[in-house]
Amino acid sequence: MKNVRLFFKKSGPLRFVSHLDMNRVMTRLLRLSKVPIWYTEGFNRHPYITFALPLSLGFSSEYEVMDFRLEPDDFDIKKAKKMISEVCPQGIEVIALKEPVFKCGKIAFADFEITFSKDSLADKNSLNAFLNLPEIIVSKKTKKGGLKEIDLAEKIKSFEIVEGDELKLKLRLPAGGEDNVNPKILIDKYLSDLENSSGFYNIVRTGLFLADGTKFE
Amino acid sequence: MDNKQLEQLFLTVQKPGRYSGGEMGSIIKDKTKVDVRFAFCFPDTYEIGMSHLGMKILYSLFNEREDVWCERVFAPWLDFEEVMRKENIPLFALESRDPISEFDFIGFTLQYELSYTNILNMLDLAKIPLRAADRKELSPLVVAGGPCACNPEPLADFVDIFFLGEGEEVDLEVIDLYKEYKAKGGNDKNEFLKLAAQIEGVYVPSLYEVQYDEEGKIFSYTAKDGAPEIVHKRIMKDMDKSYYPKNFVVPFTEIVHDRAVMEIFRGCIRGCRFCQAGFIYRPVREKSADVINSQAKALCDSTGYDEMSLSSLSTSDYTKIEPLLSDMIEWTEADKISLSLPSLRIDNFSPELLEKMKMIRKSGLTFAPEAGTQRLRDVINKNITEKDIMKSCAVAFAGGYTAVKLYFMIGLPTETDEDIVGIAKLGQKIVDLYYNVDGRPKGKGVNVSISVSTFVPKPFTPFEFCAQISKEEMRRRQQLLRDSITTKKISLSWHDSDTSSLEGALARGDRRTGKVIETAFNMGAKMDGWGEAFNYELWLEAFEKSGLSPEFYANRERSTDEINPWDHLDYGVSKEFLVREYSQALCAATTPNCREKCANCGANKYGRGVCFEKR
Repeated sequence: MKNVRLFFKKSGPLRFVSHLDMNRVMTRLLRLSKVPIWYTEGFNRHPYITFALPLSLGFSSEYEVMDFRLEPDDFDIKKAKKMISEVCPQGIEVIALKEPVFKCGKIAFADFEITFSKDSLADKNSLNAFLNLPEIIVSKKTKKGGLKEIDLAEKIKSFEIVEGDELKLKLRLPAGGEDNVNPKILIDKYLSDLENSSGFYNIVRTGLFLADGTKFE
Repeated sequence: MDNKQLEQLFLTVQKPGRYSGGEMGSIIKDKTKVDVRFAFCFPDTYEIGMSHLGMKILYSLFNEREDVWCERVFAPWLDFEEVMRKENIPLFALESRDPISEFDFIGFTLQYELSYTNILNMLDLAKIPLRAADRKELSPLVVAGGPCACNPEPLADFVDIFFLGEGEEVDLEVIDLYKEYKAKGGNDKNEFLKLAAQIEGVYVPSLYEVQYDEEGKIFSYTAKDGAPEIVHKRIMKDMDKSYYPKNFVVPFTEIVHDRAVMEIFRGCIRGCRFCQAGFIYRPVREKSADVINSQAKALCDSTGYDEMSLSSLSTSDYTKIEPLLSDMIEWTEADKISLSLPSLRIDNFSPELLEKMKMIRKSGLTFAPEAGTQRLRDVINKNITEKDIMKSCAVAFAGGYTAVKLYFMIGLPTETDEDIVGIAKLGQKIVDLYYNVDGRPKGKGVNVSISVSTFVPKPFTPFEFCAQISKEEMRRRQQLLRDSITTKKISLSWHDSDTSSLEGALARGDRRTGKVIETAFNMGAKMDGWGEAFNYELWLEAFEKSGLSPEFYANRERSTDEINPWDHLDYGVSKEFLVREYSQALCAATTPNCREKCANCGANKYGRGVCFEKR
């Protein structure tokens, strides 16, 4: 058996598919592709697949990462990529299939691109001012069910505001097991501070990175 | 509202995957290039509707035709309904997201009585008048089929056309007629309905006049405008030639039955007297093992499912079940597909079958003795003995099972307290049996779970004449059973008795009960099959406001010569047969199954199926 890593885009109807459901979708996709995959040896045999980093419901992604195992391990990886691409539904697009470089636990940051709808009251100046605040306190649910106050200002690794047809914000935030910030919390905080907020925004995860800024591969 | 805005609203509710569409296998066509658009509506949530085999068959069948585009529609859950009403979003079909009011046909499948308010709610959300008489245009035509269409009268005010029996042929014949009618320039709904009524299996309720006597019982049904006096159901005569989908719409999100389903036969040989399905789907027609095997393989290949279940009313009654499983296991093992066999009977559950099942994934074992004593099992013609039950449980325990689930009903005709206590006694005997079986799993306890529902008399069964027990009596019998169970190794669960009472009133309702449904809907009733939404008090009020009583429909013993609301419909079994079976039941006499001896039910008139098997 050989570990391989699938890189793919998730968009369209797949935006509405939760992480848990994604597991089943990808399992079926691999089965449909007829790529020979390694199954667990247990009583209830199933394909071994893991995702590098779960994606929140409603987000699109240009860089989803999923590991699985080929069996036999000399199966042509290019051929496997082609076989998977051919069965992808609308909303899943294969970017690459290759051997993993880094361990998934090494992921430290994720990039997001947030697009505000035209009728949104978000604008460059207020957004810039908000993101430069010395302190952005929000309360976040803890795993135990309580609420915890956290300062998002110190979490923002970097950001860039792009003005165009629609206002866009590019954000780099901590991601992975150590520390994880959902950009939605940040944006919702910004919008809730605006008066008469309207419109909506879309979030796309655009990349995953190690602590030193190396692209996760 | 554009797609972006709509999708944003999906994200404000739970399980947005219910509304977004775009699943693998869903069919997109160019609406300008089809002649007929059909909105296939399942009046319950996505998770329930998407699990339904009939919808999968008809969806694929309709869409095989280039001139028809069939799309799926489900009832939105309460949270999204609120959003739809607030944002003024009309009910849309999943594939095109077009409002279903633009469609030619709006078709509902009638699977259970408690979904009736959802039908009205969906019409309302679609901004279509609820009453057929208020819809003057030719389209959309509101049509309905499915098992509850065997007593369609409670919905007669709302539905233009009912399809009786199996839909594969009759639905397309009506679609064809519609297409022809329109091509000829026809645009008169009433004219079209009169033409449609000439097709066998089509029931147009507006063409029948009902008169009631002074007690509120039906005095007469009169057909008008050339509609047939008796409407006959349709069946597929040759199951091997009957259409079966090569592909399913495979949901992205989890649904109730998230697996490939292979139908192996229709009908049931048993004739359990409480079971509507056992009568209305007669005669039994099997698919041959080769056809099943190849259709099953094709379906797994095209969907990617790793689980398949064999579907029928009583899987172990399939004549060649063991060879079929042997054939199937050959490829399911290699493809790592787990097979599941629901609906096994106790009396023909052999060690060989268990051996096959052990190669399949081990799931729970469920048996349905239905009644606690032999006398009552004879009354309902369950035709299994305590010995059968014990033998099957012993086989299962020796095979490594430590849990069995047993289904029972309370409130069956002629039931006494002794029968209720008998349920507990039977459970105890199974617990005791476990500890006396050689080869049972060492060091493990046993769990016998007993699941109890309340009997609802249904049309086209020998118990269609029976009174359902009152709510108070249901409660008393439930308590008696609870008090009779003395061990923790038996776990007891109930189906809600309030829903059974309502089901009882609607199942045998007449045309006037339509007013009750409409009133209940207007008072806010919907999703009645869901505990969190069901409100029995509201329904009682709706009955009162409509000047009707649920007791009249549910709790009244009907004489066998009373005209029932469904007596002008023919489902293959004759009323004489049902009356005969009823009198047999009352003296606890059993009737052999169709393979042992023909009981002359009438279903041999179709010229096919078990009635003509060599014995």
